[in-house]
Amino acid sequence: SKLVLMEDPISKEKRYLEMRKNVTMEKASKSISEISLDVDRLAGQVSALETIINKGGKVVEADLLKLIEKLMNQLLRLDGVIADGDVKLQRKIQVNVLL
Amino acid sequence: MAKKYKGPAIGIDLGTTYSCVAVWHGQNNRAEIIHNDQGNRTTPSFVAFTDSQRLIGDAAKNQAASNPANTIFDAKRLIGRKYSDPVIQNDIQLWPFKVVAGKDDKPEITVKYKGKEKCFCAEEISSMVLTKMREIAEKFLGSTVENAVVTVPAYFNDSQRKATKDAGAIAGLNVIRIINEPTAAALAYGLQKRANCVEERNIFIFDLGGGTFDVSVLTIKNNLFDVKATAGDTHLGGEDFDNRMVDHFVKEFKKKHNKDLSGNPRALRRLRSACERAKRTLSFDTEATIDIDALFEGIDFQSAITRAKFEQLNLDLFEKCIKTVESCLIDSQINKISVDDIVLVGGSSRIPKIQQLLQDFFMWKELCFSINPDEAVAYGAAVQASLLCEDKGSSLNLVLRDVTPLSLGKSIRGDAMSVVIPRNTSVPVKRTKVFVTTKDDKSFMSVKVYEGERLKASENNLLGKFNLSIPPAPRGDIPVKVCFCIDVDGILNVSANEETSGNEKDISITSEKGRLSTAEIERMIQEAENFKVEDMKFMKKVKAVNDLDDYLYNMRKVMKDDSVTSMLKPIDKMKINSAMMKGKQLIDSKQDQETFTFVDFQKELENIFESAMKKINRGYSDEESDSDS
Repeated sequence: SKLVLMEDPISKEKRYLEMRKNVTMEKASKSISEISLDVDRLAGQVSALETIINKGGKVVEADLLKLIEKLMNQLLRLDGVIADGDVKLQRKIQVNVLL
Repeated sequence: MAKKYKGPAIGIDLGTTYSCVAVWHGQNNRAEIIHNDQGNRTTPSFVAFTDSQRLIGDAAKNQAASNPANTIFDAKRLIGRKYSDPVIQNDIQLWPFKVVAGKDDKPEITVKYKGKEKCFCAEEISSMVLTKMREIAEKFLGSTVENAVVTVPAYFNDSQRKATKDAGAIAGLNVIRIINEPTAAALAYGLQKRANCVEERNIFIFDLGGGTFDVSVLTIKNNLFDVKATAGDTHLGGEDFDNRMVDHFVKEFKKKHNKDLSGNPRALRRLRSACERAKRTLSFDTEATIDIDALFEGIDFQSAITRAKFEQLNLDLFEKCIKTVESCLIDSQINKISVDDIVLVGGSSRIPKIQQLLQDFFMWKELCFSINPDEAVAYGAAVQASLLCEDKGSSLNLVLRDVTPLSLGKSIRGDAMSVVIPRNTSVPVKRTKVFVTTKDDKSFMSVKVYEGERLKASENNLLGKFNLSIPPAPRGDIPVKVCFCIDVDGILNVSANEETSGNEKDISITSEKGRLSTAEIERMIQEAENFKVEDMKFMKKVKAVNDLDDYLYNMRKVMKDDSVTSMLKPIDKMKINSAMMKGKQLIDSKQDQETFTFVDFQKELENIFESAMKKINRGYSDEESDSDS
C-alpha cells in the first residue's frame, strides 16, 4: 500500500491567518496584564498615601506628583494597546481603575 | 585630507530633539546605526537632574513631565548664541526650565541638582548628550572611542560651530570635523550613487524633523560636494502637525459632547499621544482611528481621521515648506528643472502630502527616500568619519566642501560693511582685500570683523576686533592687506598686514562671541568628570542597596521556613529579627545613607546569620554523631 501526502494550501493559509490573529490578541492581552500588574503595585502606594492623608498627616507634594505621573504613564501605555472584543473590555476596566 | 586619525571614529547627528550615532563598517562597506541601551536607534537629546542623580536620553525624557523645571532639552537652540538674541528671548517663553544671562551675555540654564542650584551653559548640556552617544558607541564597539564627526545645521554661524566643537571637547571627544547636516545626508546618499556622479549633479535636500525644518541645495562634481544655499524654519516640524490635530479633536469633542477639555492637561496629553500615533498611521494608511476610553469625565472618545482631513488641517504649514523650498532655489541660482535628485531627511518627510507637493513642485521628479530619513545624517557623518580615519579611508574616495552661511567682512568708514567673503562661498577659502586709512597721521587701524547680510556693519554680528599699528602717514597712503581665512572646519582666522613697516597681526575668532576659553573648557571637562564619578557613585549605591535587599529577602524566606526556625535558639532568632528590622529601616532611609553603610551592614548581617546557621549545622552533625555511636 502507498500513503500519499498532500498539502492543502487553503487550510494552511487559514491556519496561518488564525495564528496571526491569535498572536496579536495574545500580545494585547499580555501587555494589558503587564500594565495591570504595574498598576496594582502603584495602587499600594496610592493607598499608603491615602491613609496618611486620612489620618490628617502631610504628604510631600513631590511624592504625590511622582505617583500621579507614574499612573499617567501607565494610562498612556494602555491607550497604545490596540484591541477589540474581550481584550477591549479588559482595557476598559483597567482605564477605569486608573482614573 | 592631511591628517589621519587612529582608532575607530564615529559619526554623531546631534539633533535638537533626538540624536543618533553611527559607525562605518569596513567589511560590509556600509555604515551601521548604533542602538542605545533601550534598543532605540535614536536617543532623545534630553538631560535631567533629580534629587539623587543625573539622567540622559530616554530616562530623562520619560520623567520630563513630572520634573519639568530640571529637564533640559533644545540645548541646540541655545548653543553659541547670546542671551539678548531675540531668537533666544522668544524660545525662553516656551521652555519650562530657567534660562538666565551669565557672563558675557551667555545664556545659562539653572537647575536644582541634589537640592542645590547649579548653572550650566548650553555647551555643557550638549556635551552630556555627546557623552551618552559616545558611551552607546563604546558599548557597541567594545573599545574606547575618541574621534567623532559631529553634524550641525547648515545655517549655524561660526560661534555656534565652535561651541559645538567645545561641547565635544568637554565630552572628551576629539571632534575631527564639523559638517553640515545636509552635506552629511548628501554624503550618505552620494555614497550609494557614487558610480554615476562623474558629471555634475544638483541635489536638493529637504529635512523636516520633529521641531525644525531645513532645506539646502548642493552640487556634486568629481566627488566634490558643494553647498550652494540653505534656508529653513527653526520652529516648524512634526509637533506642529500634532498640535493641529489635537485642536481639531478638541473641537470635535466639544461638538459631540458639548464639553470643553482644553483646560484638562491630562486629557490633552492623552489626546496628543493618540494624535501622534494617528499621524504615523496616516503616513501609510488613508484612515486612522482614535479610541480613548474615559477621556474626559468618563466619556469614551472614539473618532477617525482621514488622510485628506489631516492634509487639510496642515495645508498652510505644508505650503510654507514649499515656499521655503522656492526661496532656497532662488538663492542658489539653480533652476528647479536642473535639480537631479531630491533627498528626504527627517521623520516628518514621510508624510505623503509633503512628498506629493514636492514632486509637483519638481515636475514629477522621483524622490529619494532609500535611506531611513531619521538616520541619514548620522549615516553620512559616519562616512565622513571613516574618510578621516586611517584604516578604512582607502575604500572611499570623496571630498567635501561646505559653504559659509553668512557673509564675512570688515567695517569701513561710516559704519558700512565691506564684504570680504560673500555668503555661500565654499570653504576652505582665503580672500584678501586691501584697505587704507581714512584719516591723516593715524597710528593704528582698527579691524572689526563682522558676519551678516546687513549693509550697516553694526547691525551685523561682531565676531572680533583688533588694532594694527601703522606708521603715521596722510590718509589713503598706507595700504593694509586684510586676509580672511576659513579652514575646513569653518573656523575663521583674520590677519592684517602692513607692508612698509612689516607690522602684522591676526586673530582667530574667540571669546568676543561667547566662545569658551581653554581654561573654561578645562574646568567644564573637570566638572563632567565629577558628574561621571557621581553617577558611578550612585550606581554603586543602588547596587549595594539592592544586594542588601536581596539578602534580606532570602533571610526572610529562610526564617519563614519552620524547619529552620524551630532549630534556632531564641536569642539568635531575636538577633536575626532585630537585624532584619534594622536593615529594612536602612533601605527605607536610603536617601540620606552612604554606600558603605549598606555594605558594612550586609557584612554584619551575614555574620549574624551565618553564625546562627552554623550552630544549627553543628547541631545536626552532633545529632548524627550521636546516632552513629
